[in-house]
Amino acid sequence: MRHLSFWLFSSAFVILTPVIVYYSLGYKFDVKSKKFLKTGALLIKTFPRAITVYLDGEKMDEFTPTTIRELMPRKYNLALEKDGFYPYHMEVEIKPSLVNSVDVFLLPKIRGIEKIKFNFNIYKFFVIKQIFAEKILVFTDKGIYFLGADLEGVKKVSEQVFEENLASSIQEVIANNNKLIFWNKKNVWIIDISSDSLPDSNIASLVYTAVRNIKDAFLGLKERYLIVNDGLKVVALDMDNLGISFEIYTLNNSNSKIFYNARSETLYIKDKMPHSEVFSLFKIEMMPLIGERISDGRNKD
Amino acid sequence: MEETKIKRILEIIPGFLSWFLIFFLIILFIFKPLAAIVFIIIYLLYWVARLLYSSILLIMAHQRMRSKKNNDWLSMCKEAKSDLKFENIIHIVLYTVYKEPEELIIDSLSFLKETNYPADKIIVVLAGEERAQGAYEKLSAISERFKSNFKDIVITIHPKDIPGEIPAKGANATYAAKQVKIYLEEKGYDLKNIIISCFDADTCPDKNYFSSLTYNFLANQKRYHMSFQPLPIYSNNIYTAPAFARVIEVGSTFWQFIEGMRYEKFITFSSHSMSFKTLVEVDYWPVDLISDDSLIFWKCFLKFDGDYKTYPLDIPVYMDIAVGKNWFDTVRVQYKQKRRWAWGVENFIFLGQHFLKEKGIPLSVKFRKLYQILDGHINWATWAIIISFITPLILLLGKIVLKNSLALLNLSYINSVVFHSLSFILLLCIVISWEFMPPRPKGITRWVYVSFLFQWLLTPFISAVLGSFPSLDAQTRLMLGKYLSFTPTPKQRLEVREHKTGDRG
Repeated sequence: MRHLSFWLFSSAFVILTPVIVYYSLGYKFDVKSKKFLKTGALLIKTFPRAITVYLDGEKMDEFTPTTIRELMPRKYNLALEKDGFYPYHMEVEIKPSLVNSVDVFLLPKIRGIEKIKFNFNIYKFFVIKQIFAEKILVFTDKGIYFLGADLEGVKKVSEQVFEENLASSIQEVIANNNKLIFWNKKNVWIIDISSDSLPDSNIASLVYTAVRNIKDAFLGLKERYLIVNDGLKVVALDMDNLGISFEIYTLNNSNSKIFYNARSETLYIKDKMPHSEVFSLFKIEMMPLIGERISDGRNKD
Repeated sequence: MEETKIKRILEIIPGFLSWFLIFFLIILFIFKPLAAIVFIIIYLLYWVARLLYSSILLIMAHQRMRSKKNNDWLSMCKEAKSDLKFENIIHIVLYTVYKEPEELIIDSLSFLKETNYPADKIIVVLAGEERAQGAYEKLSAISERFKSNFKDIVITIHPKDIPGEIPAKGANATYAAKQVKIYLEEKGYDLKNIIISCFDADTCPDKNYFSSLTYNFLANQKRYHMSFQPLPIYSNNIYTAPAFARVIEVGSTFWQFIEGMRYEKFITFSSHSMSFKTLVEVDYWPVDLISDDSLIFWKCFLKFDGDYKTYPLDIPVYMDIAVGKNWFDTVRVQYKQKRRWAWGVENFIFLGQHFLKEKGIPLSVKFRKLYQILDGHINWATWAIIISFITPLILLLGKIVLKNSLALLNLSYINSVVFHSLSFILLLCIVISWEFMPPRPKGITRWVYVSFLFQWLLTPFISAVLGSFPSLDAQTRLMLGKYLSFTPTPKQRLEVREHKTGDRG
């Protein structure tokens, strides 16, 4: 019995090893041509899994994820189908001794469409990301409203109605410290939306009007200021004490751009030097003076 | 060529081959990644075949053990057809003792006296070391306690620093055996009738051990050209040893199980028995080498021109799992013990040197035996490293180097087949190991069995860290000429008294 097992396993090893090695390298014995042919493989991964696979119209036995081996080198039509998803068709090329990997995200078919529950005229909407959820801010013919991401939980923010053209021109909205800050090309507004204020008293305050066009705006300096590029200068608008602003940089070109990194409190400016034809990049660290003053104070102590 | 040069060359060969195999794979992958993948595929297939074959042997060995377990060996001894008389057979049970605690030796002797073999035919030899302070007093106290249970108890104290000896178990056992020879001759015993069993201090023989040994000794015409190997089961402290240590030692037991099925390759390991007459003829165990247990086999093999075998008794002797003071210390102790076992690679040097002088053994046998040792030790040092580290590394790096290679994809598939084969063997081990479990001692909850089940998940980690690395360490030391000194495995048990004398298994 022991010798039989030994010879059985030894023979299996000796006979099967070349077969498996050749198979691993992609060789396949073709009965018709009586030749060894080099094949390739197709590795299919999908989301979701368990998708039916058709190769040149022929249904495969396996569902995804799967590897189809022993494919002759050529182009194939691959179809991936599952109820509730759009069928996915693509052409795949198989090369000898290689694996073609296909990773597909199937698009679900639209099952239904939901409508907001009230029939106000919606002029403009913004999706505002907050820490725990997302909210939708809508400018309507009946005022400004907050909605949940599921279109439920309607909450009036302000009675103020922005006329359709004006509302449509609003470029961006920031919700910060119970304030809604929004702007179009000309103006920056702010509305106090703290819980103790009533919608009818929440009137948008115009905090800035640009001589030219507002190009970029960022919250910065511990989110207390709005850094605005109005094409002529970069100004910092105090969001807590309205009406107070500081011009922090005069731009040399109307096509200048700014970016404010709130984490490092750094202002980056693409601008031209005076009498220069080319743009350059500038960096202003907004906080180091404050940091130096704090450390100076400590040293004195 | 000078003898010392030959010795150095032989010392370098195993370590060189092991490191060569490891580096060969890495270098091959760097320069010819596809060739490395093909090599690994062949290597893994070889191991699938080998592991499945080993599992068949394991099942067969288990069946054989079960069939022998319930034999009435003592009656068989009395009825055995032999040129020797059962009544004349005397057993010398030699315990080599160094710093083992007194309780451990008492436990072992308690076990010994409970065997079903007539106690008046057993002479116990307690072989102490002068290096261990108070050895004689300790052994005398034990002797006093058990003197009425055996025919006699002989105490020997091996003097320290004998020229030509290393402080190792073999030197102690040899010294004791020489003293026993004088004792036996004085008492008028015929050495042909004496069987000596060389046991570690923690060895607890099964109740059938001596009757089975005696029967096989009597019934076998080639009894003087044969050693008798029990099945070492490391279970004395199984309930308190860390899970990883249990897995290693159960693995060692199973390895002996499998080895016992390959008679032509089977050699003595740890506790073993043989004719005292043969022992004297081959001039006892080696006194200047560490692996005395296996070297005694090769000494006999050389003495009798290859006409020497090890007979698997399939009767267990229960031993301790090597543990330390805590979990980390157990890792250290296990590592050192496995490195000492792996130092058995010195058999290759011993045999290689003697084969050059030996004319009576056919060249083919010499090559086969040398290959057998080399194959065992090189595989021991490399297989887990290749399977657990190099193959996953190649699979990982292969995705960068050979992005869309079909061979790489198939290698990962074959690799998973290897692990499934391993899982099958693990399942087999779990089932069989359950049979060796001693009764659960008081103070140990049933929850321990859950850990016994999940302990097997540690196998891949253990096989590499405490499987291959100690062996590679031993071979590297030998290759560099940094010889290992004998480190006795500490035999210590936790407070729970784990084994009871009597029936087990």
